[in-house]
Amino acid sequence: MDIFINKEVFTPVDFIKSKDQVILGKTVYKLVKRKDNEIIISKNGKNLNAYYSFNHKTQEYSISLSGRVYKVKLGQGGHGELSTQSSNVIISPMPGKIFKVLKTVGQDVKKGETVLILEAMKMEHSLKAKTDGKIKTLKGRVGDQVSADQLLVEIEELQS
Amino acid sequence: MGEKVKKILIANRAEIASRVIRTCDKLGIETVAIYTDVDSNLPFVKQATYCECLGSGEVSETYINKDLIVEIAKKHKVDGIHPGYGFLSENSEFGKLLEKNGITFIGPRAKNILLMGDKLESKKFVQSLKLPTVPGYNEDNQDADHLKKQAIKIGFPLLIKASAGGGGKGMKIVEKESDFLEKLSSAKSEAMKFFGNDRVILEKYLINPRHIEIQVLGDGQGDAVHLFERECSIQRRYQKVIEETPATNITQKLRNEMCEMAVSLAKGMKYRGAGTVELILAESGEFYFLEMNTRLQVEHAITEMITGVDLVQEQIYIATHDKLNISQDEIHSIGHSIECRIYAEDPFNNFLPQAGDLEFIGKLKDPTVRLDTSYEDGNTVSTNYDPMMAKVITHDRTRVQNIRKMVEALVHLPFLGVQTNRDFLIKTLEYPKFLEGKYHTHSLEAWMDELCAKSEEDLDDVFASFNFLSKKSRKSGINIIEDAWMRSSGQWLG
Repeated sequence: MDIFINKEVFTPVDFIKSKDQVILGKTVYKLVKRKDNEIIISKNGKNLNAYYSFNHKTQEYSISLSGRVYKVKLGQGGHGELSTQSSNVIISPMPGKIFKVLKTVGQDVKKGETVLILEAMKMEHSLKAKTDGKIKTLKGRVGDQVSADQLLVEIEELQS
Repeated sequence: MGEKVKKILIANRAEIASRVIRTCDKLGIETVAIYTDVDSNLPFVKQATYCECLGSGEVSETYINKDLIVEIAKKHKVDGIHPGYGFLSENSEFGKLLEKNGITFIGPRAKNILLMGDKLESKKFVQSLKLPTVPGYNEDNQDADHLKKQAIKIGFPLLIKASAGGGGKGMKIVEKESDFLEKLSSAKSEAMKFFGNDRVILEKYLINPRHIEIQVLGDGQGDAVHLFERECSIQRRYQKVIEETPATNITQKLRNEMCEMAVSLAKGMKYRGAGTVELILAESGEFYFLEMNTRLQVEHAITEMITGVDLVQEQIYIATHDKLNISQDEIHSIGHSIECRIYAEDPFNNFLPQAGDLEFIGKLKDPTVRLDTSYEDGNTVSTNYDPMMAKVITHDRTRVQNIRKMVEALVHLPFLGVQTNRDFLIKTLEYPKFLEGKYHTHSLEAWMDELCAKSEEDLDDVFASFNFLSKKSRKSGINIIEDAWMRSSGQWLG
């Protein structure tokens, strides 16, 4: 997933996102509070205060962090990729119910293969593996309610 | 005060209009605001008791349209007009027009404005009081060869200034004799263009000078007091950016001398109201008269913070009583105060003025921080007027503590939606030479490359914040991510 920060492309490395945390390499960010244009996140346990606003015309966030303002926008082609950022995980893109589970732990998967199907808002969403590998963890069974951005599947990538 | 003044019209806009209204409210005085169409949503309009729209014309047809303003003042039967700063504040004709119409001008007498409005006349007057002025030439003979001879007498480097000038227009530095004639002709043509008068004065150019100004109040009859100094050397192209008081690295003796000099001038000219005597302080400790601003200054608030004196209240009192309401021994300076001016401009793009919609100003987490502004979230910032959007003013016991307080205040005031100089201000406040208090009027320009350089940033933090924001945004209907996701991989269930 790419985003633009101050009009420059920013591509995160080793990025995992779940419901209320973002992991970038060894840094764990958690959402502490979000209210009235203020957002507090913890970075490896230490709080960071930020202010933000959203411009509907430009679809751009202004984020003020440590006394600096950044303009942040989803990158071109970034659409749709934000919900399944890291290639070795599958994260629920929205709240819903697990409709079908097609794989079990330990099974091999191929890139593009559907691992599970989520039912939400009267739609069926196929959640596909983004990489070749072996299912390492699989959280959730048929009928389970899941929230948005919940980590559902981890895939152990094949060493090449 | 209410018995003499019941209603005041404010012939100005934005933050200074709000500032004057605040004091009037405190004193139980009704206010009339005037505004143009583009300013109609700014808070000062609704803060006033009454308001009158001036339409959407040029400044000359609106905010400085003397006849129109007098007409509105008469309609509302106001007792006085406060001009703020800029616009008609130093227009002696306006004061005379008000006098003719029986309206009090809350400012100096026309003769004070006229005397100090002319660089040549003001300097002569200051010299007549045996007060120090910068060595130079200020005679009527404007012949180029004659000026060159005078320049050689003063020595280089020297400054050529437009006699009627200000704000750096028509001002040239001449490094050496051979450049003189060329710089003279360009100074004269600029002066003609901006002021309609090409008369120039020559001045010794001081190396590493500081801009120190003294706040005074005069009763118009020959009595005057000072309210200490303001250090205004942090400037960019003669525009002040950060001001502080007390000035750093000056002795009490020097402070006293400068304040006494300003009082002597105010007394000598029978100055009425609030005024500011601007001085140049040389590295040697010598100081000279630069000019006098016959109005309330933008940076007056820092003086209010250290003295506890409401300068607008004193202005109204003096204008209506022709005497001072405060004596010198009642004025004390406590602690340190600093002001940062928030401009809608882009420091990373040559400080170009910016426009846009103000989405979120920020929060005043510390109740002792003073935010003088007339913008609120949702307002549009246009480039029609001055790009200054707000003044952030802090006060604390020591300079070090106060700078820390200011940085903290600015961190919580991001002014999102419009590009501002806020980040630049924070970097300046944290710049080692600023923290040391060792700077002069050319310092900011010298630090500029470093202050505007792209420094190491933790973009991971920005990225992480963005993820938490966009995740929640579905609730407010922004839905960029999920919509797109559904378009690309969702399938309708039968």
